[in-house]
Amino acid sequence: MADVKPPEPREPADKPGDWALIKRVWPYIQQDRGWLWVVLLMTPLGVLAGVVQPVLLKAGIDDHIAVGDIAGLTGVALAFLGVVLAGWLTGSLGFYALQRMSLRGLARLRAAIFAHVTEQGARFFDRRTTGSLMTRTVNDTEAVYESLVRGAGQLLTDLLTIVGMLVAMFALEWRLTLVAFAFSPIIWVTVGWFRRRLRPLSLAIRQTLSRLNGFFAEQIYGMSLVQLYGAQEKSRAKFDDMSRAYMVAYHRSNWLDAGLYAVMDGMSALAVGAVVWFTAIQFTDPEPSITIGLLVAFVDYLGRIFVPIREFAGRIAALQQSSAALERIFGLMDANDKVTPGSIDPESVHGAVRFDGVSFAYAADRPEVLHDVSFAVRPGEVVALVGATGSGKTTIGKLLTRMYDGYSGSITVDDHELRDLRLETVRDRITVVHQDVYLFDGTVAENIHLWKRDLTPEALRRAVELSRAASFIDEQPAGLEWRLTERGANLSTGQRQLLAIARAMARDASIVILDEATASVDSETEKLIDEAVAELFKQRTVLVIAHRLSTIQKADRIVVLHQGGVVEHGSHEELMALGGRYRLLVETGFEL
Amino acid sequence: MGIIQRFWRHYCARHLRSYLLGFAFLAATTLLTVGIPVFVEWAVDAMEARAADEAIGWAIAILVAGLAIMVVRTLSRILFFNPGRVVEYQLKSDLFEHLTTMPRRYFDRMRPGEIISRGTNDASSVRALVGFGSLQIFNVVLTLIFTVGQMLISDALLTLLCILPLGVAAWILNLAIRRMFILIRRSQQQIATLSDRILETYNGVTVLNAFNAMPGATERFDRANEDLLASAMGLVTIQSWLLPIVTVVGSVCLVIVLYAGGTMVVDHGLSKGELAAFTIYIRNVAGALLGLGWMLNAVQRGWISLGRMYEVIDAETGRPPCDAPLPERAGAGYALRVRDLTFRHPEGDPSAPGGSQTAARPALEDVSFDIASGEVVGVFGLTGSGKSTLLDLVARVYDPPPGTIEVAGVPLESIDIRAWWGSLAYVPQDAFLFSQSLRDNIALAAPAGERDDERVAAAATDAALTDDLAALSHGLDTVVGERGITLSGGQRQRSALARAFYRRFEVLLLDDVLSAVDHATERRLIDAIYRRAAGATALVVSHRISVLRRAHRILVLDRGRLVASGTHEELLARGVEPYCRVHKLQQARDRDRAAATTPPLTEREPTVG
Ligand SMILES: Nc1ncnc2c1ncn2[C@@H]1O[C@H](COP(=O)(O)OP(=O)(O)OP(=O)(O)O)[C@@H](O)[C@H]1O
Ligand SMILES: Nc1ncnc2c1ncn2[C@@H]1O[C@H](COP(=O)(O)OP(=O)(O)OP(=O)(O)O)[C@@H](O)[C@H]1O
Ligand SMILES: [Mg+2]
Ligand SMILES: [Mg+2]
Repeated sequence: MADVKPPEPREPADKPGDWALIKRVWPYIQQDRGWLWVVLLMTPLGVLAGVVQPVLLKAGIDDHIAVGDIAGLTGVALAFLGVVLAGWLTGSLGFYALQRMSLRGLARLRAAIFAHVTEQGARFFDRRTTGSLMTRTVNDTEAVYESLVRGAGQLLTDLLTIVGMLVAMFALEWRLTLVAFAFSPIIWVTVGWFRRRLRPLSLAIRQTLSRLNGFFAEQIYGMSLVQLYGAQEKSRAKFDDMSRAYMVAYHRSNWLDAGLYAVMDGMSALAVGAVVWFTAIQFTDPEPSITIGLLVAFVDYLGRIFVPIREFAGRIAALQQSSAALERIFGLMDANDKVTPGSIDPESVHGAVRFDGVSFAYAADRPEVLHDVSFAVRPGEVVALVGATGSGKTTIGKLLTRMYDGYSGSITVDDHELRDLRLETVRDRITVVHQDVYLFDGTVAENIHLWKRDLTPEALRRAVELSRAASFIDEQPAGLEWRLTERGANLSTGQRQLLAIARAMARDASIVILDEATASVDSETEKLIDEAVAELFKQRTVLVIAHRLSTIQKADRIVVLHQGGVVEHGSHEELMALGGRYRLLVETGFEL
Repeated sequence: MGIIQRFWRHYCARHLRSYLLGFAFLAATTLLTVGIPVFVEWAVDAMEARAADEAIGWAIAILVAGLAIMVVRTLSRILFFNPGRVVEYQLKSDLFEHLTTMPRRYFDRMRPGEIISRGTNDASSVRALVGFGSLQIFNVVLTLIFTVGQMLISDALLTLLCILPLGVAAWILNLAIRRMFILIRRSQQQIATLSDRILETYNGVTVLNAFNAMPGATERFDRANEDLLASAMGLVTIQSWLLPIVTVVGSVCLVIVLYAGGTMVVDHGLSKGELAAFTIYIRNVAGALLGLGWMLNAVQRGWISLGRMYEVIDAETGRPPCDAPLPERAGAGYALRVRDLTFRHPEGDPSAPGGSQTAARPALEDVSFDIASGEVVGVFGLTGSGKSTLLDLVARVYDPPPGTIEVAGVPLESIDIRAWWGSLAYVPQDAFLFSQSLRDNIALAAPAGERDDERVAAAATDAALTDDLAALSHGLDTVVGERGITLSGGQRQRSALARAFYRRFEVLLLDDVLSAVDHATERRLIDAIYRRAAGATALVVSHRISVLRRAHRILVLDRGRLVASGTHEELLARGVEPYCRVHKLQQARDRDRAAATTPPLTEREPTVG
């Protein structure tokens, strides 16, 4: 059976033009409009200084050297020097302004991507790897910077230079100009040809690279498994395949790159040849209409103008790469799986929760996970959600904490439709111990308060003690300042869970969801935690998800899920008396 | 052997032909480029002499040179750049291959982000070194030699007048680039920090959002983002004011040529043709010097990156050579003998703030026990008592101190490690899935192209995944999200178990693999586990007495020490703590349940443990 292809969504369906992309970048640089004026003023001045130089060269040769006028030559030389220095000042200032503007824009764009991604609902992350999202936020913005500075921005200088010099050349001697650019249609066609081929290639290169890096990262994280299961060769082969694809794509783009560069280089020589040839023909005349000074000026012009023309192609290549990056960035910015925030912000939340006919599927192409789920929880009640693994318990918690949107039916908290409540309110009032514990690379304290300042050291300490995390934290000399490594790798699994519990206990919420919060904790510690939970959350609505009956039995009410639907609910006694699924669960489960 | 030699021998030497050919084409390119001003000079002199036909001849020579340049330059660039890509590919591939042999300790110490950056960013710097860098070295050197030589032939004094300021400019440029290089390094560091922050925030996005903690995380991001911006602005200042210095000085030289050269022309010391040629030479020299600065930068960066990559490629596994074959099987599975096993986890990241931190106490201390072949042994202990550490050591995820573990009488550290891994089926405590199909996840142990779908199906069935598969959109072919996030906790755990069941094993190591499943499923799984463990030696870690009690023997760990070992009944009879306490707790529940249970549905007696 063929593997189903990676779920990574394809983002930009239709390719936006370069112009459209620039328009989307504009808001990020808009704030630095003032600097834009500097760019627009200084750049032409810098360019002008370059355009004038060959004219001075011609004047020096034809008007002074040719007639042996050293004094006049001195004057021209001094003027020339002045122009050079003025060109430096204006050109550099223009460039500085441009870079400054771009860099700040880049930082803003990066912040915008970060904000966009972190505002997304969980569905967004189901289909993407965080590695590729990181690439988008960091590496692709770097590429965009290249486009703004080496690409789009320099394009202005280049265009002005090209136009200014053309005008000057035409003014000096139009026939020579025409001869020099006799080959320009070829340039036009070549640049277009290369452009068309480079664009998809550079997009492909970026994609391959991002896939390769994603794979690399995943393998590093799962390396122990790869080794234990002897999958080294398999991984290596896969890595090599991707890496080779990257190399091959680059080899192809190298040809285009090198060709583009060399053709432009040769073209400048051809233009010089043409100009010399035409001048030489003039010299068959006893009174040649073209002077040597003019020829030197033209050769100088051609030396100057072909750099921007050649770089123009290079800039276009850079622009290709970065507009590919921009496409991906804005593709990401257009992808939206945000949960729609509500606006109601009630004074207090008592903690009544009601699910009414809730159905939910994780994605359109996924089967429904919850069907018509209904149950109600009164404020201050402890309700247990039980059911076989995969029956949808965690999903209910995810809906309640608004990780996912797009359920049908109604979920209410204190008679407010959950969707209408402010997101911050929901998150402040509902706290959760996730089944999958995530710990940050930071101190124990940071992992509990999560960089929120509203937590007092006393509250922190209390949470650590109630959750029994103190048992191993206090063994450490650094205590709460003990530094955890990535994902809490220097803790045992049970210890990680205790920290997650501490995190929830440190907060004062109205509704608490405990999703298998003590699954990896020994029974002794579990019992202590259960007592602390009972004490701490006495006035709170508590939703416990657990497989262990000890935890479940203490609940006021039990909701039994089976394959995504509620099949029974009631107290332990009621359900035992009912003799349905719950009783079956209890009886099969407890034969020691 | 020095890094440079090894690098050359392993990666570059095979491209020698390509480089030599590229060098030939490059030399041709440079000759042609230098030829053009010479032709211009001769043409101008011919014009001055009113020899138009000769001038036309030189013009045609220029045209031919132009056409030739297109071809040879393309080839020289390709011949230098393509090997660069190949070298990058091979370096990366070797780096990855080496990483597949590295022990966990190495990954703990280096941190994944750092390793990933070496395999990606540093690889591209090295590529720039062998591609662009080497092209530029030759390009600059050849251009300077040819052009300056030609200039000297024309007029030594004028050459000196121009070369001196250009030399000074190049020197300033070099200083500027060196300063830039420092700033670039700093900003690369900052990019790494920023990337870490971002990755961490994205990975923990669920937690951060659930706790309304995103503002704090955003602040942290903003700070890193601003730091990066600040050093980038420092770079920009140099780039805008100092980098154009060579071009500016080039123009100044043009003034010198015009004035000094012009004076010479008037004095008949120089022909107009030579004057014309000089204007072109200066441009070429300035271009080459400009390239020089960048080249030095690329080369310097490349070397540093190469060093960083070799650090990984050369990293020692820290394992003594282990090539003893697996011992003969005696009956079912291997006998294990553990003696005085003490193990302390490696120190935390010493570079991290908070300084180096030693683990407060050894995770295991003086642990000794024996397991007969074919025995199924349960491991019990409170949270943090060292159960996972024990399995990690037996599986050599961490290397046990020499002489502490023996397999069928052979010291574990002397056994060929891949053979040992090949005889294990270890399910670690956290169920890690790769973002590929469930089928490929289960058949992780299968060599490429040799996946046995029937075994996959059987493993999935034994791991009680059948019902779940029906609920997934593509059954076994469903591609799971990163780390398996699109599965439920229990599904993930059972998939990891199925991965072990797919294997043929002599030793089975299960670390709390039933923590996320319901009781009914648990019972099916216990059956499957004990069935599969027959014919192998097994260590089964669990917090649940229901899982452990069927084991032949149970080891009880307490704060890293082995406090008892015996059958369930023996432990109870001897009153071993904390086993008895936990048993009582789990039983108490059972009694509660019994008490709360109204008469059973069926006629049969309720079974109470
Ligand atoms: N992010 C997701 N994308 C798609 N499907 C999902 C996702 N998360 C869970 N599922 C599917 O939804 C179903 C219910 O999952 P859920 O996590 O709610 O189960 P659960 O009752 O918590 O199980 P467990 O006891 O194993 O934790 C499962 O079949 C699972 O595969
Ligand atoms: N990689 C590590 N680095 C440093 N210390 C560690 C590391 N892994 C575990 N520890 C420490 O070693 C001790 C034993 O941990 P271990 O994971 O073996 O416990 P465990 O018995 O498996 O606990 P649990 O029941 O919670 O899984 C703990 O105190 C833990 O903090
Ligand atoms: Mg769950
Ligand atoms: Mg453990």
